[in-house]
Amino acid sequence: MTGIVSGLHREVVELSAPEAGVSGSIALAGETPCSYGELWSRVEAVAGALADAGAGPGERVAIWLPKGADYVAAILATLRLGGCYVPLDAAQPAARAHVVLNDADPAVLVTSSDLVAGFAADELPRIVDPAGLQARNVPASPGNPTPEDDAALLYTSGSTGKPKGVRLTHRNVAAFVRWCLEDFPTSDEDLVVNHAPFTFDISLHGLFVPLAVGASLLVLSDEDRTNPKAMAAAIERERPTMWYSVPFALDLIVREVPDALGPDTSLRTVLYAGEEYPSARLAELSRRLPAETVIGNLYGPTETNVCIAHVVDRDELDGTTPVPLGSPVAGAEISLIDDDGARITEAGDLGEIVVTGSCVSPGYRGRDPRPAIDDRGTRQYHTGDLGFYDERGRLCFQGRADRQVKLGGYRVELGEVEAALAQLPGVHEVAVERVVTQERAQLVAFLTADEPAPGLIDVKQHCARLVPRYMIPHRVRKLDSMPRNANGKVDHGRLAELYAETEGE
Amino acid sequence: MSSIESSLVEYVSGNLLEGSVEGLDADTPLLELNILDSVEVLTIVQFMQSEFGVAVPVGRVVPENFGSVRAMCGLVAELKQEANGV
Repeated sequence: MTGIVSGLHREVVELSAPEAGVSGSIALAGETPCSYGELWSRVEAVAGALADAGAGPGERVAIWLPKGADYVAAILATLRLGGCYVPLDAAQPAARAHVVLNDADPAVLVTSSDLVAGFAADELPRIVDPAGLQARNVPASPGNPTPEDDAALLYTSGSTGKPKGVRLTHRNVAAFVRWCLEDFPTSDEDLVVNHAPFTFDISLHGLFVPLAVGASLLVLSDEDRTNPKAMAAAIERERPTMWYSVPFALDLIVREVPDALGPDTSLRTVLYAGEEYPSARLAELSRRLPAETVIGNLYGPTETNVCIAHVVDRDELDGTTPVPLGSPVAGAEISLIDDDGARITEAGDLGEIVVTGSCVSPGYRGRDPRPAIDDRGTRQYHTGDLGFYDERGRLCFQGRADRQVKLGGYRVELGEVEAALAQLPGVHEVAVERVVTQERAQLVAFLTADEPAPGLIDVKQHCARLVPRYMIPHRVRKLDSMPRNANGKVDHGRLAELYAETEGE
Repeated sequence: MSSIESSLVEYVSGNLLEGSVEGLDADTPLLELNILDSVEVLTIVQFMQSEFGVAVPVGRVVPENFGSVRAMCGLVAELKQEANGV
């Protein structure tokens, strides 16, 4: 059976009305289920309002709503018109939304009046509020996107302290969905969990994969997606068959809800990406899943979405050996490049992971696009991640080459937190590190400042106005001087030592 | 300050803020400032049970009840009242 997403074989994502056979099937599962027919009516209603407000082919539509059915309808309505959706997270502060809106310059913003209450009207694009939209008799006129048109603009943490909008084309999204359907088959019998915020590329799976095949999706709300008991209860109640999230979310369930999952769980495919799954924790997850459930380790920055995948050999999990990243997905080529730019083929040699293929984004909004064509006819992305081949030729992950870290599954550019802290009055120098103590990763801010130096709560209050919650430092250390290496650069290793010496004081 | 309030302020400062109390009061927004996260909420639930003798039902472990020390005090008071009422 087919759903409402099609065109994938032509490398585009097209939305069309559900056929009679699927119209009565559940599209959105949950406490208030919504059939394909009902979802389509919502999509048409939002698309009509968007078109009236000036959205159309090639236009960007920002969406700033709590995670739920209206958000899904707004994404689909944007694509229906041939536009590009720009997701914002309702759980993030208004200042971050402001920066993203300024950069994205959307034609229309889909939001609710309470979220934009703090904004002056002239700061905002035209607004469509999905609450109370009337059903339309006149269907929206569909856009006719080409594979190189933008389908989504996803903002990640930027190294200059400013978020960067990663452009995902129809080709990028279609390649991802086609690959998912091949490697982890999905049918109209499936119920797929959509765990990630829509700002995160992981969310594309739990949106387009089920909607392409007439399956159901279960969108977890902003509150439920971080609450282990709520997640476990949703799995128990709705009986989903597929799950895809960051390891942090899965581990939260395993750690906090002892009777969750188990041999009778409905999940038959569990996928994770976004950061490494600590080996001992992955072994514990595996013990809590039925033997036939497939566990998949997926790898790829937003700029390539998933480009490497590995079906975990569950017999191989010993609690200490890291799981390989695996092999390139269909449409992606991977190479390892050493410091001199030469390609590595020997097992064990460390190099940067470089991705080529239809999964690679054309680049960032407002910056020069990546060349469409290199000597092999496709785009390349240098990930900044380090890897090596193991004895069996499988690619393994070694860490970030720069200072981009992962915290609770979120990508944090330490420089962005530092840029926020540097704006505190009286502060001279700042450095932010990710420090792991007692198995938990924390952000520690080191600063030199005039006396009286700001306290921990002052620092947090200041950061809360500028960065998302997950980027607010957990600890502050005031220093007389910033440790620096011989080149005059901040000595990050020394900072971690300083923290270890003063921890708990 | 009630004794419940001061125990909770002491708990938050001692366990989550390395003993820092400067700027911390009953209305400090604990979730918005990334002082409390979903793991720590569960340890506070355990603390409430051992310290105040109240069991917090799963349905009450919601952001509104843990957003500040004042909200937590309100929750404890409600739960005590409900326990006495039965």
